[in-house]
Amino acid sequence: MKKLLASLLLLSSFGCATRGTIAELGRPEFAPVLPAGLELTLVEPRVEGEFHAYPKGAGQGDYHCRFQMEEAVHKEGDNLCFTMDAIPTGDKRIKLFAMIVWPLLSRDEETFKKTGRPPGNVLPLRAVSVASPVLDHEYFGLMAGFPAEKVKGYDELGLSKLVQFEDGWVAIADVVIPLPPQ
Amino acid sequence: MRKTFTPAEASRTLPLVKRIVADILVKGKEHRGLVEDEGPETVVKEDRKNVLEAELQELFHELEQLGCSFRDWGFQIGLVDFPSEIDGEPVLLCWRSDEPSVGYYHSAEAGYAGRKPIPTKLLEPAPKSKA
Repeated sequence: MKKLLASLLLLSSFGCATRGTIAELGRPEFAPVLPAGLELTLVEPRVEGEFHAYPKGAGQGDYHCRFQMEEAVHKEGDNLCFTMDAIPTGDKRIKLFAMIVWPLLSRDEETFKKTGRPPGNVLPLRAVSVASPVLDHEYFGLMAGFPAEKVKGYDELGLSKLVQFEDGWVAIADVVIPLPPQ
Repeated sequence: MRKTFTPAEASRTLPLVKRIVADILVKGKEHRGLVEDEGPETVVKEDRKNVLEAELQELFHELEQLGCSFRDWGFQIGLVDFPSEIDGEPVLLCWRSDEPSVGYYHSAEAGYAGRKPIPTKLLEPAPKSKA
């Protein structure tokens, strides 16, 4: 699975500026992985399934990243696991890769892509992050595992993937992947 | 039919809502710590996660019984939305746990990033203190 993320070069071409912390900009689930009080400007209008925001001083770069599922969702004992890579493809390096894994029903895909979380009071299955690349490479890798019994009755996973580039630019992609038959 | 709140009605629920949200933040942070933990999955950890999830769902349900919903999935600022109407349009009154009263609203689509102050004309004046 590959996904092209940010392709934004000129901030001046975007509309009004909404500023705030990541929580105030509507993605509180990522507040624990970013510095407290980090103020960001939201890039608007938003594209469904994506979120971009930048701190003061950022914005002069080529913020491209693609995600690649290195290991598909598979069973290991009582757990389901998979590995996801974030690969910078522009001139900006990544300094943080974080991912939140949600249980999802296919009927809630649209809501997930709009809001970044399933409807209702669903809690995440897993939250993982890494602040250094894979040894001797520029890409970042994350493995996520969770008990298989936690996704009984669900048919998909919602993945919220955040990358922070070296100058602080934050990009989030909300994507859906199928669960293997249980 | 879904209950709607005036700003004053929403503020009047705050003594109870604050207590529920304080509990949610404590349990939510512990749950988040467990789902972030990179150590081996153990029965003890899984059991604790299950207990916290059940307790959190109970607390979310308590808020829903009052007619409002928890919205801070980072469990740091404690956001609660109250369904309401302003100028005939459905909106959500928005309270965060460090605010003394309900003073902001946003549309369902805009979320917290689109918060605006509730128009003064809709805010109930504070009760006058006795001389």
